[in-house]
Amino acid sequence: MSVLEGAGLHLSYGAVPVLDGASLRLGAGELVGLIGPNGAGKSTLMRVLAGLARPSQGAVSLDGKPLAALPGRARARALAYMAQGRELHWPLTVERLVALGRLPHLGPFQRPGAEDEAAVARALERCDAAHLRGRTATTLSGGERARVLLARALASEPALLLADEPVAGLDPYHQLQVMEVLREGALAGTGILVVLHDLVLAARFCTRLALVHRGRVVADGPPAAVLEPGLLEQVYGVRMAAAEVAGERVHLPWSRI
Amino acid sequence: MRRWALPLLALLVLALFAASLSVGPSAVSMRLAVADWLADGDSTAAVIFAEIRLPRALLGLGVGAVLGLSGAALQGLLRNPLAEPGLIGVSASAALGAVIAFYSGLANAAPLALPAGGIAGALTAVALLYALAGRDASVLTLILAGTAIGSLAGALTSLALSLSPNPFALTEIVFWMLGSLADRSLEHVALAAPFMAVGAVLLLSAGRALDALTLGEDTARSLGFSIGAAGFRVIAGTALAVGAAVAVSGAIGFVGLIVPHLLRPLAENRPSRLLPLAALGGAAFMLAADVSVRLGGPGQEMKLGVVTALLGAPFFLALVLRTRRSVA
Repeated sequence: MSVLEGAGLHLSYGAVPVLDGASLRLGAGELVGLIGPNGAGKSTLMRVLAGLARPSQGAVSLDGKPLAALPGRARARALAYMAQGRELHWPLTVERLVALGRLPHLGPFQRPGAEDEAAVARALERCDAAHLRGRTATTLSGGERARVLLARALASEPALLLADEPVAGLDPYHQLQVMEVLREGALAGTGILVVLHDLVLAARFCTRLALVHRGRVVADGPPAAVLEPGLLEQVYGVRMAAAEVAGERVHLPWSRI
Repeated sequence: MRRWALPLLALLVLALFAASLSVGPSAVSMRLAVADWLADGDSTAAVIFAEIRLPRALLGLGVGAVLGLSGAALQGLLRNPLAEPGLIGVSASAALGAVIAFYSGLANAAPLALPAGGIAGALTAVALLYALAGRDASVLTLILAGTAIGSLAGALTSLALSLSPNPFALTEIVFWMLGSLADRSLEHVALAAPFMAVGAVLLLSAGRALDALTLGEDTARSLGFSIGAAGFRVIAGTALAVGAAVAVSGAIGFVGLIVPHLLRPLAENRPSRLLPLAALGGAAFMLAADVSVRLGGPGQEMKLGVVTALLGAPFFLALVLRTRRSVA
């Protein structure tokens, strides 16, 4: 049962403030969608929450203890991060790549054991990538690579997962597939924070949404409460069209204001 | 095949080490020489063994191993197959230190002043690097600062050469810089070995972090690794090991570039697995090249640095052309 909490976070790149008092909490079993326009500070907020960037003000805590005071390996066992870029510098096999997720569990010269292999196999299974295990990861399609990198993040079996745009560039089938994996993870107790641009996916899959605007979380709550047309128009600068689909109300960006 | 890569390479190194002990202009029975040497004898055979062949073989082993190892570690750190130990300015600075020892006449006064100068040059370079770039410097900053330091050291070496009043000293310096393992003593080995050993341990200890870096710096940090610490291990390890290697053998190029590249498929592209393979591969390559320069018969033997580049460059080119074809 882990709780990650960032309060009053400030961060600037030079003179440009990127986070301006953002606060966010992520608890076990939640699937929280981090939404907002480009440049609002979503990725930076996620990097600060993951301990990858240090806020100039404010603090991030994991289970009530300051995240910055936690040793790197202990933090990495509790909290997995899936970067926005899908960098892969050497052509590893899929199995080796996913096994990198087990590094926080291994001592300096300790070899991976049966438990690690089982975790890798489970992660591949959950992401429907078990049949890719022998493939060279650099030859995968975009959808396959996204699933494999998600499996890499899940392989450490973290209490919390922060995923930056895991569905960017994927076709509808693979977007739904990745969101389903995340939902199953949350149902199994993992606290998941995910940066999304697709408001329909956000509404349908997330248990909670946090809307980021100019470095602050301006709305945080159940999807129906956050996806309020007036607020979205103000934040995104687009007029929204609402529609009823299969009994669910969805909001679609329609035209620029 | 891949599981056997490490033991097979180790056997190859062992065989080449034995060959390095047995090949030379004077026909010496190694069995008698070793027996006599162990019995503290001073027969010609024992002297040739202890003062000519053994230091040469040990240096070939050590210098080759650290060049291959540091090349593999730097390629992993920078995630670039073109990285090589010369990149961070250590080789050029070690050469400058040695040239200063030559130039000042210290090298004539004390035989070990030359390698000691080289090691001092390498250590100064890495201290300067961290002073300039800061302790938490990004890898890119370190490389740029290293390149600048290397260029400066190269320019100062050229300056020393062009100001050299004595043409014989000039020839000696130029020949030294071409790289060779000939005429080194066990004192050279004893001077360089501790630096090489500490450097190698630092380099080998970075393996896991290099694996994590396959996924980029942010992901590596999220896996619990400090990029600054990994960078320090690789760069300080390279400075110590390669600095000591250059100090005793002169600049020997291409080993740190091609050996890791060649062995990467055997490591299944995993940076941590490549490190020990590249160390053995570098040792094998260096011992083979050093044996081959001795097969040319008596007279002025080819310089080792020239041979590694002459063998290495066409080979590397063939490799590049082959990968180009497989990609296209």
